[in-house]
Amino acid sequence: MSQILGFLAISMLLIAVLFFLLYRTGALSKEVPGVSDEAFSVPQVVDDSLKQLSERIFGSDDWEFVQSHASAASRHLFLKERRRLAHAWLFRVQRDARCVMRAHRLAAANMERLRPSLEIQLGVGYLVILMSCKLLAGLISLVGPTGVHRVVASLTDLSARLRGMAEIELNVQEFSAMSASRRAR
Amino acid sequence: MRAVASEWFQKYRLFFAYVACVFAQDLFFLEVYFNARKFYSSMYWSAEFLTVVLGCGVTWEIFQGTLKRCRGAARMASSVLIFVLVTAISKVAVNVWDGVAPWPGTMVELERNLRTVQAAFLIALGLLVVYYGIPMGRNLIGIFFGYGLFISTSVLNLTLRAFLGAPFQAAWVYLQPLCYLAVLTIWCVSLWNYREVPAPRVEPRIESDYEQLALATRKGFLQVRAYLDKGFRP
Repeated sequence: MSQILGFLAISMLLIAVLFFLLYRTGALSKEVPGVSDEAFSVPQVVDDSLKQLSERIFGSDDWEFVQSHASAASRHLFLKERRRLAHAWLFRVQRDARCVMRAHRLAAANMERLRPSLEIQLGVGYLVILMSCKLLAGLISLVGPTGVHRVVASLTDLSARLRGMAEIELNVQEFSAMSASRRAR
Repeated sequence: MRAVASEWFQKYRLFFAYVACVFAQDLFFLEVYFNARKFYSSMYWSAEFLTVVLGCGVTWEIFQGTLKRCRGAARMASSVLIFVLVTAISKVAVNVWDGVAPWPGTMVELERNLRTVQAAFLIALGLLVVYYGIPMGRNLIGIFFGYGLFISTSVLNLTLRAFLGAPFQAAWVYLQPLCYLAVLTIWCVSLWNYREVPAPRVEPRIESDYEQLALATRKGFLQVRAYLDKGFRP
C-alpha cells in the first residue's frame, strides 16, 4: 500500500511541478529584468537608508514623546502609521534579500565550479531570512513596532550571537581566499 | 509534418524519433488489431517497452536542451540526478535482495517503474529550472510540459491499474487515449514553429569566480540580517 501511495505521490508532485514551472516561466519572462554588472553589487543592493529608518521606526523616542504630549486619538493614529511604516520597511528588507538571492542564482547557474553543498547552505540562509521577516511582520501586527523589541529582547541576543559567529567564519574564509590568491600569483 | 516544415526535428532528434516511432507503432497495431488480433497483446507490450526506452532518450534530451547553456545548473542537476538514480537503484536492489518486492513480474510494473524514475528526474530538473530561473524556449517548455504530463498520468494509470486490476480496466480504456490526446495537443501547439532557446539573462562578466560570488551573497545576507536585528532590537 505504501508503494502505491509513493507512486501516486510522485505523479501528483510532477503535475504540481509542471504547472508551477509553467506559471514561473511566464512570470520570469515578464517581470525579471536582466542582471548586469551595475545591478549586481551586493553592498549597494542593501541600502544604508534602511538602517536609519529602522532606528526611527522601531525606536521608542518618538513614542515616548507622543505618549507624554499628545491626546489619545493622536497616539492611536501614531501607532497606526508606525505599523504601516514598519511593514513598508520590512517589505524593502525582503525585496533586498530577494534581489541578492536572485542575482546569485542567475549568476551561479552559469558557473562551472558551482558547489551544491554551498548552494544548499545559501538557500537555507535565504529561507531563514524570509522566515524571520514573516515572524517580524507577525510581531509588528500583534504588538506594533515600538513593542517588538521588548517582546523579543532575548531572541535578538541569540540572533546577534549567531551573526557574530557567521561573521567570524566569513572573515576566516575571506582570509584563506586572499592567501590562496596571493599564493597563486 | 510540422517537424519537417519548421525544421525543429534537427534540434530535437530523440523527441522526433519518439513521436515518429509512436505514430508508426499506432499504424502498425491498427493493422495487427484488424488482421492478426491474437498477436496483438504480446506485441503491444514489447512495442511499449521500446517506447519507454525511447522516452528515456526524450528525458535526456530535455535535460541537455535545458541546461546546455547553464554549466553551473547542469553540474547541480547532475549531482541531484545521480543522487535520485543511486537512491532508486539502491532501493530496488535492496528490495530484490530481501525478497520484499521481487523483480517486476509484469510488463505493466516494469513500465511503471521506469516511468517513475523518469518522473523523479523531471521533478528534480523542473525544480532546478525554477530555482535558477533558467530560460527555456517555447518548444522545450512544450516538450517538457507535454512529456511530463504524459509520464505523470501514465504512472497514475499504471499504478491504479496494477492496484485495482480489472475494475480499473474499463476506465483505463478511455483514460489513456484522453491523456495522450491532451499531450499531443500541447505538443502540436508549442511545436508548430521552431523557436530558439533564449540566452541566459545574466551577463557572463558579473563574477568570474564562484567562491567570490558566494562570499558576496553571504555578505549581502549578513547585511540584511543585521537590519532585521535592528528591527528586533533598535
